[in-house]
Amino acid sequence: MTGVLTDLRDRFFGRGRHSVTLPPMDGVMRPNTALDMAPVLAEAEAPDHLQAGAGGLWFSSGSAVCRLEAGRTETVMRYPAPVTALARAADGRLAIARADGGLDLPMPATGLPGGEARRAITGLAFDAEGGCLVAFGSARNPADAWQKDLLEGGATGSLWRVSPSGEARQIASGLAWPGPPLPLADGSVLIGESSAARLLQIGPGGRREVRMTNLPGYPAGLALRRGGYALCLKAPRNQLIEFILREPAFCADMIRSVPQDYWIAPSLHPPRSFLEPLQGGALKQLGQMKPWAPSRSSGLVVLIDGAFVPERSFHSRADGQAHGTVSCAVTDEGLAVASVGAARILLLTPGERNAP
Amino acid sequence: MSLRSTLSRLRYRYFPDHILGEILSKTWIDNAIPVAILVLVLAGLGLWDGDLVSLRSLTGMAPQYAETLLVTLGMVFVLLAGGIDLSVGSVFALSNFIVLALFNMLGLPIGVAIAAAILAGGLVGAVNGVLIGYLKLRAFLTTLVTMIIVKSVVDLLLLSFAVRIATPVTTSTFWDFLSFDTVFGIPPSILFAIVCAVVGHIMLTRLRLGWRILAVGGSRRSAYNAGLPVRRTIALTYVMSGMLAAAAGVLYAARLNAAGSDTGVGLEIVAVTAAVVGGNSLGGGRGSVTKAVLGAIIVLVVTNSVVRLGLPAGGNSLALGVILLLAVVIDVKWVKNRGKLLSSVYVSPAWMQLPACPPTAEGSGSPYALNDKLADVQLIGLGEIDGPEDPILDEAGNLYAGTRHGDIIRFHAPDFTTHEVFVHIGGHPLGLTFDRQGNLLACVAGMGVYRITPEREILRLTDQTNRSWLSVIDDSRMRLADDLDVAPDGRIFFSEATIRFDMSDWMVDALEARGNGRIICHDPATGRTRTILPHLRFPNGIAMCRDGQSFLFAETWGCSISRYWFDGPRAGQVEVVVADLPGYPDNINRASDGGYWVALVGMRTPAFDLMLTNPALRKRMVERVAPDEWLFPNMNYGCVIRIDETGRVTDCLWDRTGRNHPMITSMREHRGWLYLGGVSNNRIGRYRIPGADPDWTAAASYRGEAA
Repeated sequence: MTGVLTDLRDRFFGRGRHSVTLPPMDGVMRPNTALDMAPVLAEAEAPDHLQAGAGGLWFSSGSAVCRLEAGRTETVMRYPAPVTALARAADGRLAIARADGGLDLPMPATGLPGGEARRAITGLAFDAEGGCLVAFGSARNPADAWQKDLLEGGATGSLWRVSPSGEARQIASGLAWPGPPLPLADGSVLIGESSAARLLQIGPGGRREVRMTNLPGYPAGLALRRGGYALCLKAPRNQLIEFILREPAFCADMIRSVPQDYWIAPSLHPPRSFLEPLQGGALKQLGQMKPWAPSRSSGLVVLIDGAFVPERSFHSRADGQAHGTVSCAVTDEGLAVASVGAARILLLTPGERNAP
Repeated sequence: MSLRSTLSRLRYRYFPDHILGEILSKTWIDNAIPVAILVLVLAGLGLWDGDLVSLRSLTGMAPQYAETLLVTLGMVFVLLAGGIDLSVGSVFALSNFIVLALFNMLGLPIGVAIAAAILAGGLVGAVNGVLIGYLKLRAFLTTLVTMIIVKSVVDLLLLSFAVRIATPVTTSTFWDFLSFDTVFGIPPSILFAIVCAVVGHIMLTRLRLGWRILAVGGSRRSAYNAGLPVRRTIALTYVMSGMLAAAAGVLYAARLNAAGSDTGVGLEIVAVTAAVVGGNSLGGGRGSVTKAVLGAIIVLVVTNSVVRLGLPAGGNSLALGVILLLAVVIDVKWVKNRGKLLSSVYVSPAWMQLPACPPTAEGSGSPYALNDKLADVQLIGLGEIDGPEDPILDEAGNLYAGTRHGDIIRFHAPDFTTHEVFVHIGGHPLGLTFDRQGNLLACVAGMGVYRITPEREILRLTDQTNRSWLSVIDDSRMRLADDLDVAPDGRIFFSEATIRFDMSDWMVDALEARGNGRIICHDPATGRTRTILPHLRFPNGIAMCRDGQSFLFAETWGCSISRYWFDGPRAGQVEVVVADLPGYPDNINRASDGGYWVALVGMRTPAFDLMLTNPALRKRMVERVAPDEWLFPNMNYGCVIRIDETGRVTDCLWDRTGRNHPMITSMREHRGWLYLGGVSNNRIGRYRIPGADPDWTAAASYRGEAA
């Protein structure tokens, strides 16, 4: 009863769950232009799911699977539908999921949801024992509809493991749009819950622990690095969007009547059309867009240590182009970052002290 | 249209949400709380015992009220200057004693006795004033000490003379009149108090001393920095307080003709309570005589009722204490939160549904289809001009534009590489036009309509129009005069974009989407200014049609262009010419082909269009989300279209990236070129119009020598 009353009061005053405050970008998270200044490794249509290892840097780009080696990009495979997830094991085996529901695993997948559900695969990863982790973003929306799932308040994603012998088992369900999983040495899995803006560690038995919460963006790709992890946030959280998320009726109206590119929703691209919504602070003054202008898209890669404390961050702000940082991978030269907004793979070499 | 949206439309059409914010922004709103308290007190007491608030009971309090009001007035002056005067009760007692002693005991003329009493009060006040104003002692402690000293003196005197002063040795008709008579049924003491209140009100609101008191109380340091005599002003408030308390003591003497050791005891609490409960801030700087009047009524009604209800001894003080505590809490909270409340309440969105947005995609075959004609616009004055809303050219080809700094800049023909400040007006000059005599007319945001002669003389043509009867905010003043044009007979028609927001907040008006703007006509021949078209959605550009009887005007948030006939057979009619623009129209000017150029300052976005049909959501957005994060129309892109008089689109000029010339609020055709202005740009653009008449000028067109 008290809870209901508290909730009503919070709703009236816009407090608690109903507040639209966001974490301040302070301390380690202080903005910079590192992503915009970073050297370009490769140009690609929509790079994602970077996989580093022997045999070069593999990644998906639209409906292609590409390989970058010695500064040269080659298309390895091309499919009729966009690739939504990609994993490459140390021994070179591939796992590929596509928007048409196609899923290529090096083993059978008995018991894994089939048919339409497979259009929602957002992440694949091989663990140390040779099993394959499969993340389904949602049970209701396909993999390219993460904004819709966010606006609908969806939390129907799930995480499965397919054993080397081919039996699938659900590890976790009810996830708010999980991204690509990152298997850890202890058998647990680190995974970003995009729509909930938090980072989970899920044990082999399914026990969940929230490792980072109230992130300033929507988490996507993760990578292991010396002494910790690298976390990609594909789009910034934004006060207006947080407000809209608390207005389900309006979200439904918008999903029904407005084309997806023009929603008030996070985006992977800097503005491309005047039909996209604009917030007051993003109004150009004297021909300039302020870097701190409110934005639906941005680039942000955070280096976190083993205890999940942020150590360093790399940004591309409202006036930059390297937005939609969806994936990263540790290579010999540094940290490779895929930016969908800039259609590029960038290289971060953050110096000795915090070398990734 | 669904039932829900119909209901929403009707509710937002007929329920005036915006009035609340407008009322809260009034200065007299501070009186609302004491009035509400008074009404509540009267109603509460009336319910308890109707006799307490009967006319007889209230008039019975009248003589007592006069004394309370006088003391409260003095207290208010002191509070307004940031101090407090606790010695009023003792001064009251002293004055009572002096009058009675001089008149009853010594038999001096009553005039002398009264003058001496008031002088004594003034002296005590002067002591307070010197100590607090000049020597900068604490007001609270100082007046506490004078209260005790004066009270002791009066008590000592009373010990010796208490009996003798109560037995008059002489009589005076004036004293009897003051004691027993009435004028038209009103005791003279009340009349005197009313006179004092009126004089006090005039002083506080109209005279130098009153303004200084408010300034010192509002911010002592600022008052000092502004060169005001802070010390003298503070000292004077104590003198006034002392004299008013003494005057109240005289009235008390006339009423009761007795002095006791309890005379004036606790009066300072009564006065402070009355002042604060009336809404005068304890912190100084905020308050008025009206509030003192209200507060004194409330306190007196309550204390008298407490006495008549027969509450035990001390009940009176208890009631006063509780009231004072409540009043102080309300005062603190109100002063602190009024601004917050106002800012969250002021923006009040209305329901609006725009017609479907025409397509703009490249190759869509739409007249608005995207192109890149403006990509290579030449730039004039890049980085040297701030906010050229509406550039214009004179016969010699010089280019003029207003800036955010309040200047009108002149770029020299033919290459516009040099410029000078033509005139400095102030405000932000927006729409410009030349009249038939070659004078430059300017709409200046925040100021009105001005005329600048070629000799650079500035003349204000008009800055106010008729006040509408039902408007809460004063709409006679001009807040945002935007664009203008001149009829053949010299009448000036100009738009005022909104009456609810200033220039700096013009975009916020888009969130309201209410008809906040109007079109006004000024006739220089008679000097009369009259609103002719009220309730328009951000009326903006105005351009005379070639028939000399009508003009086109743009409604920015309405995404429409209409035509209004001011003369001829269709006089007074409005006809929509273009109802569904894909963007927000700004200025309109004549084109050489017989049509009109229209600037689209920003483009409609589907998300914002959807939000327009949901005012409650926009209201919540304004309350919850920081202003910089509010959803606005997309003003980072714009274009120029050309229409003919029927509204058919004949050309459309786009800058695809919006990089070279981000915002377009106006354009002028002059000798084959189109000059582009933008209110938040730092440049003026120049575009060669393919195939345009290289000799055409707007001036020739207005003279009737060209299309």
